[in-house]
Amino acid sequence: MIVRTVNSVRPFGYTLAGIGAAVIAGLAYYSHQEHLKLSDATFVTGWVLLTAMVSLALFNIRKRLSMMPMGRAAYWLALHVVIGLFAVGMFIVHTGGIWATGFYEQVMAGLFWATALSGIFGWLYQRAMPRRLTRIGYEVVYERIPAEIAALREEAEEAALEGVGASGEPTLGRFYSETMQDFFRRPRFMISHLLGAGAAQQWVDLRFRTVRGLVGSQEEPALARLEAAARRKLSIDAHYAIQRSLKLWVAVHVVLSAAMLTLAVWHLILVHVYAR
Amino acid sequence: MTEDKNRFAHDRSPYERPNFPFRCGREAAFGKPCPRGPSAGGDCQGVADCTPFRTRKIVTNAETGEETEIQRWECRRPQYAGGPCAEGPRPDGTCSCIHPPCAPKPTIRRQRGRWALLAVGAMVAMALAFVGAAGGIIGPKPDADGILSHVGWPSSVNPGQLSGKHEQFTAKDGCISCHVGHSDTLTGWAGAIFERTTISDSCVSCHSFGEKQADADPKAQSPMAFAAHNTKFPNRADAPTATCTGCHTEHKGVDASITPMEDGQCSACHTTKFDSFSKSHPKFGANFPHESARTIKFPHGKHLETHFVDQRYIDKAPKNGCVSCHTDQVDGRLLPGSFENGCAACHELAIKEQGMVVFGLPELSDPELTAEARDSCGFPVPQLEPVRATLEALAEALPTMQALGENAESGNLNGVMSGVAALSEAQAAIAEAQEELAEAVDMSEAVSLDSLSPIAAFLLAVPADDADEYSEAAAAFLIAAAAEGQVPLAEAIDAKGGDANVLLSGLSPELVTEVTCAWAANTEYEPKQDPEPGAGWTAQELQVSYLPTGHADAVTKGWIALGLANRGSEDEGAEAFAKLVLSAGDGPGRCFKCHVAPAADAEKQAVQWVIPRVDARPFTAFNHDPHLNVLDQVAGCATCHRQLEPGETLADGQSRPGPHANDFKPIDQATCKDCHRPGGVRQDCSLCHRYHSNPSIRKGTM
Repeated sequence: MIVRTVNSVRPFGYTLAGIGAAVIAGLAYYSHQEHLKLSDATFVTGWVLLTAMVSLALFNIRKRLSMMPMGRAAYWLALHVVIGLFAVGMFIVHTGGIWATGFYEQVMAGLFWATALSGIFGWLYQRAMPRRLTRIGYEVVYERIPAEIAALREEAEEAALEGVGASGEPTLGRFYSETMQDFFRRPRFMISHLLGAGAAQQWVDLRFRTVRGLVGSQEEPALARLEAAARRKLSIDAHYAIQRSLKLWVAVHVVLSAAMLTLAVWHLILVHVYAR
Repeated sequence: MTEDKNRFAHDRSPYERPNFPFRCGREAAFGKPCPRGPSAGGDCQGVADCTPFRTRKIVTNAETGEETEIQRWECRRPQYAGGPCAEGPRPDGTCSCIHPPCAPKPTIRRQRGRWALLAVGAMVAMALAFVGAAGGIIGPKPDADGILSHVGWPSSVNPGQLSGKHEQFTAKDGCISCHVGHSDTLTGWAGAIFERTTISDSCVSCHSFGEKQADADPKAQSPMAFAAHNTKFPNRADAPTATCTGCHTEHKGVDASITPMEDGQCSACHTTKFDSFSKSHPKFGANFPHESARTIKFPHGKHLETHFVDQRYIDKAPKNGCVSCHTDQVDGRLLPGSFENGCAACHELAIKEQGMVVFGLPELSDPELTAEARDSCGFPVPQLEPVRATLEALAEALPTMQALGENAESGNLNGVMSGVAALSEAQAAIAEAQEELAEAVDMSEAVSLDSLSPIAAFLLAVPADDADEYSEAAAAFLIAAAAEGQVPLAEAIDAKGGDANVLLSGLSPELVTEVTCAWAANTEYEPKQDPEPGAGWTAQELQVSYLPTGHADAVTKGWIALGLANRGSEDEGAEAFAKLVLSAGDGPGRCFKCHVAPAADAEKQAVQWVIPRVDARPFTAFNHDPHLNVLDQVAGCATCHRQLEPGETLADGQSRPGPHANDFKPIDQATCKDCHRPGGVRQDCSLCHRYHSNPSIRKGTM
């Protein structure tokens, strides 16, 4: 039975988005009116944009101060997403376009768009990937995956030895050492798992379908144990690929944000030196 | 392997957190991690499985009651790592389960922090490095050869290249050419953060907009520079102001236009709002675009329909329509070309014939004055000598006649004989004296004019037609002219505020002397040959005249300027002089058959001889070029410029065919809207209107 819970974050997010859109519209109107009056609103819009960008950076601090009662992370995420989209709008209002002409301003604009696009991508990505993880039917913390793989490897080696011991034939031992050992060494088929393709599944199916015709009845329990370990490894690999990508996009987003904020501060200094 | 839901229980697995900065090196290689993991500083703690704990226990001997302290090392290996080991700690308290150390690896979180710091450092380094690459905080400056070697280099200071017209502007002082707030020192640069300046102040150090003091004092700033439309509305105290940077945004690239203006920006101030030109633009002026005063009067209709079809002049008529004469393109306007190319074929000869008499030789009221003039030329003065000789002869003869009578009465024949002889001599003297007297009487019929010329009367400040009034001054003038040529004339001109060097340019002093002395000799001056049109200074009979050498003759323009300068003066002769040089006729005033004379009450009494190249409507611009291809094939220019039909009246009541009246209908706005409409050609305000009035560059800028 599917249980639907009332998501209180979504109305909060919509409300914020509405406020953000209204503020952007107001500032765009104000900026245009100033432009018509042969005046300049870029100082105002610039400060608003910088404030928004600094506010976005505070989301990272919220995660670091998770022990403090600062509200649910979901609300913070909603706030982060809305302010991020608000910053995109303010950037266009502030610059009057999407690109710049000077070298350092082009670098800054490039960093802004890279940050914004990585943020939008990540937002959508982290909404889609957890469903994939759920469909795997197996849960594991990312940090435990190496230990899990190591445990599976031990399990697989024991199964192979068990098969050899039970039959006296080296078939299962050779199958493990020549075919499966490398598979258990580390996560495999990363791209296939990321894309949700079945390359890894097919590879394992093919290998075990092949070896199954070569083993005797004494080896079958061990082979079944080995196959179970391999299939668990597929699930763990999928977790590893997806969870790692979820962490890596955040890393890219944060690094880009840090670079952009640095140039934004530089831009602020230059504006107050030259443009006043 | 069956999934064990409790495999991560606290006693079965180590406690993992995503915010750990390091992870076990073996784990990073997907091996079995050690149970202890790395320290927060990244050191391996997995060499030993545990840190044994020493316990102390007091054991009491039941027999003796002696207490003994027993110390033992206990294994503290956690349950998830297998619990206490069988070997237990060594005697020295070290763990007996020793492994080789690993090299802990930073977690993604840790790596993320490092990359973020690196990115911050890279941006700071880039900012500082490209400050230097672009010439430092003051921007590009010229090298020893005067070349701006850093222009266009990547810069972390310059937000974009300057537009083409300003590209080399910073050659001397760099960024502080405009950004005066900071100096070329780092402290001055940093201090500018807290100093508020206006860049527009720098703009008007080069640009001026008709302010009178702009050229006089390059550093002077006029509030009109920032007033709406600058000096167009100098008396509007409530005129809104604006900064230059409000419209002209620089640093947008070499090819960027920094002069665009939106319709909305006009509407922000203008009280008459309208959506677009095609929908609701205010009507053009009643005679647009001919409402402003013209400098040349040219009756197009009369020329086109009368002169150019006259068989006598048809060979001189323009062959290519309007552009035969309207050859000069200035700011998109098609102005008439030069006189030589358009008008000279028909009008040049008439100009060369429009001579003016500068001075004539008048009759003087007192013969003594004439005699003085004659004397000044070295001629004898015959008028009184014959009379005196005759009277002397008669006086001498009278005693002889009395003695003759007495001798006749007394019968003294000798006396009678000598008396008769004396009478004969006296008769001869009287006869001779009579001849001289007769000659003197002939001289009294003077060869001279009845009056002074208007120019001479004005210069001498005497009435032209009253000999009693002008004789003394004229005699003095003529006596001086006979002796010194044009000098007295030049002095008189200077006294009236004229420039004799211009007004008498080319006048020979010998000519003045010869004419004056011919008159003194009571003869008419006879030139060696009759003067040709355009001969310049000439003399004939009793007049010294000037025939213009051609169109735009400097001497003629000089006399007209003198006439204008004395227009309205109450000086004697000024009115007649002004009438001579300003009224259309045969003299200099003939110029005003085509040129427009200033109104009598005009503040500036000067003739605008050439068609001004600066548009009299500084806020309206029209470029003919793009319109030429859309003209009606038959009507041509008349598609827009339509002549008035005979008898047709303009909106202001002016009708054709007034000789100097404008004979074109106003431009019909509907004609413009045929193309300038939504979906057609652009129709924004700045297409036809300019914001600034009289924009120019101050002297000394370039």
